[in-house]
Amino acid sequence: MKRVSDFIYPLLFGVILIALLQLKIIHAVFNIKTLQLPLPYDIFKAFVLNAKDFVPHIYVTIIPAICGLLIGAALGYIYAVFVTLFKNAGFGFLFLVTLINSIPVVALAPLMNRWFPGSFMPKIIVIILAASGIMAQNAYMGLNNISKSMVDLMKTYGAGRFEILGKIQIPNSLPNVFSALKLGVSSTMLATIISEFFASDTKGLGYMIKYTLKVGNQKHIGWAYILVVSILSITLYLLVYCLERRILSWHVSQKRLK
Amino acid sequence: MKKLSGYAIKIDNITKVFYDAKGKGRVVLDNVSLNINAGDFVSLLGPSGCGKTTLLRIIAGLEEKTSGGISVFGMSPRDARVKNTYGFVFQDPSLLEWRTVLENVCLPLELKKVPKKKRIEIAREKLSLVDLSAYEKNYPSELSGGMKQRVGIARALVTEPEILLMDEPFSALDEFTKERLYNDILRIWQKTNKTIVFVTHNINEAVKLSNKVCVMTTNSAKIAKVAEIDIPYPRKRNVDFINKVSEIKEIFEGYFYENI
Amino acid sequence: MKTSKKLISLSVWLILFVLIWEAAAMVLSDILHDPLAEKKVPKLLTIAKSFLENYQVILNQSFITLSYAFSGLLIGTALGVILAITLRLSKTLEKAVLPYLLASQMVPILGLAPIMFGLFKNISACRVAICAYTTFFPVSLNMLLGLNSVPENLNSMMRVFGAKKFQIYKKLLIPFSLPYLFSGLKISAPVAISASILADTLSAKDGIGYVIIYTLYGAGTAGQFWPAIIVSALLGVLSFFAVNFIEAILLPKKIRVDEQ
Ligand SMILES: Nc1ncnc2c1ncn2[C@@H]1O[C@H](COP(=O)(O)OP(=O)(O)OP(=O)(O)O)[C@@H](O)[C@H]1O
Ligand SMILES: [Mg+2]
Repeated sequence: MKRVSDFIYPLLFGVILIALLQLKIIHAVFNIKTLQLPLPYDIFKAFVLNAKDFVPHIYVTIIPAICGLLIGAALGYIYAVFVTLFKNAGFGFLFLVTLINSIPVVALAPLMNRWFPGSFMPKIIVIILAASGIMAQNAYMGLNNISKSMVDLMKTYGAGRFEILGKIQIPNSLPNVFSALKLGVSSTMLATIISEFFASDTKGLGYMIKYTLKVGNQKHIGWAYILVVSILSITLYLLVYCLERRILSWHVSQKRLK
Repeated sequence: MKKLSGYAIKIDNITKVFYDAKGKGRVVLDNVSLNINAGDFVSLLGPSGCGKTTLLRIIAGLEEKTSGGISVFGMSPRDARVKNTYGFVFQDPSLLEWRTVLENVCLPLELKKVPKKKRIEIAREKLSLVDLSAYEKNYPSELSGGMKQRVGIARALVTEPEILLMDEPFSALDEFTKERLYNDILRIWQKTNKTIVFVTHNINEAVKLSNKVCVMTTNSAKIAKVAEIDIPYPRKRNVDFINKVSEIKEIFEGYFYENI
Repeated sequence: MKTSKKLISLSVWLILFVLIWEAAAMVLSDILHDPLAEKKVPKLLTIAKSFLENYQVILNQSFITLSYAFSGLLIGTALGVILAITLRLSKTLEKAVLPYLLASQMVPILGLAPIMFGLFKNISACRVAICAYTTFFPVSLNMLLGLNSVPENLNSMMRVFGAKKFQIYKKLLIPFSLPYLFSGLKISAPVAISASILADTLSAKDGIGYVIIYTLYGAGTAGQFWPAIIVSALLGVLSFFAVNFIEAILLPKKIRVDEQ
């Protein structure tokens, strides 16, 4: 019973919203022309008709996004382990990473364009920076948010620094790793799109969004690209989510067996 | 109005069913009837989970009954609530963390739009009744569990309600604090002649305080018996007292044997 | 960890960073003789000098960016809070809209900013709107989370003391959700700054983002590029600390929710 209504209401809301747009009621209320805000049907048509054209741009965007996310996450985790092992030395390092991470992508992207040649390198560097910062902070929290009694217990069995790290701290950080990855999906997509706004290249979803939305009679195509980006983001997010369910459930069941 | 109905609270064949997510019903109160006179100190006594809180929430109009009738001074619980008939002391203190002790006690008066000066005066008076005058500027997080509970009592008294509903107010307290609060609550009751409905799972507590003990049983709660307690106050642990306690214990035991 | 140790660690890393930077600058200009060396990795002294020469322009332009970000943040927050309260008032509406709010967390909202340029004819309104709509989603989601986290016992408490609906909002729900609102603002404030800089670069004629783009592509005063980058990074960090500071003033320490 409840399940159905959880599903029906959002659907209904979406349908009503689309209907209001399609019937130009929202346009009438806010005095907007269809040239400014295209009709859903036109966007949908653009989406279907141009599906083939999307594919190369999707590749150009999604490959650096995924690679950057993975490399950045791995780097960030290594940072976190380093900072955990060498507390004193690590503090300043983590602070520096956080500081660099807080540079807006908008400022970082043009800078990287200046530093690195081509369009792929600057893009992936921006993404790696974004992803590694998020991972470093979250993983550090997971590695260090452990109960003292657990550590004491390990010590009474004569465990060394690395055994404590491997047997307690790293497993304990897994949930944080996944929440960093989930946060990372939207911020890597954002980093990719925005660096494409600035790239010299004329490929990629970000470039197409910026370009088509600027041109008067191509706005519906721009919206179709936005639809593509949203679908990709949500798919990536759900992928991470499913991975989390599998891996973390295994993790918990392992604990129960012991 | 009291004279009109004769009873403060009249509960007539009330049933309460809770439904879970799958729509499966679970009877928590089964045909409960109970009349409470104005000025009574009634204890609802029963094991954990038997539906005492639920009954109290129905009296306060916080929960809808599934069937049956209830009236409070001839009104529905909801109307009675709006007219500020109730003071309520909750099982946990339910204080607002961002308000000081004094501001917490003022809250019910604030809701009634009593002028600031007046409400602070009344709140201070009630705080001194529970011995917390020195703490009026502190935040709840700075108080012990017993002190928080006393703030809750002061807050319940502040509107001079005709009916005081108390849900295991002392179950989390130590013996020393309890003894003091027993005396406080009896003093307040005798002085103001309020009607008190007092939920507890402690037999000694029920016998010590109330003039009627309403014994509730598990397995879709029914009222097994309403025992009158006519021992004069202040009640000491004498023979009468102990006899009364064992009498009530026997009701429970008898009920359990019947069910086995 | 002691503060002195933290400071030592921090300064060692900063010095290391500076040294590496200077080394890179040297290698580029003096060994590789890169003609673009000055543009890619300028010596820190050069950056400092150009900051001193251009600080007036830089500060003026960042002030413009900041004021758009701030107006957007205010409007976005107001709308977000209003939406959260509306959703709290109607369970049906909440069910209908919440999935979209959650989905907004998975989509790079800021990347969709160019949409705004179609909707608004006025560039200034457009810049404010971009900042507002990027802050709107995290704020409304967090505020709704706060409103929905109010424990049931506090709700009952307010009702039993006869609070009217708007009093429950004013005295319980909204104060209770303030810490949640602030954790939303901590996400939103840096995002609003980024959004404002992005809006500068997309089609404005002033603002710090405009300075970056303008100087990046060789036009304008080249010396303004690096100071602009550094200042825009600082703006993001500062906005976060500003929210923390305001929170520390407005909310007593005891009631803040722990992040994460
Ligand atoms: N909102 C609710 N939804 C479903 N079931 C409920 C609800 N509130 C109470 N119950 C059930 O009703 C029964 C009685 O609950 P109640 O809180 O009245 O017990 P109680 O006698 O006050 O117990 P205790 O002494 O532990 O406080 C319990 O089994 C409980 O699970
Ligand atoms: Mg109870």
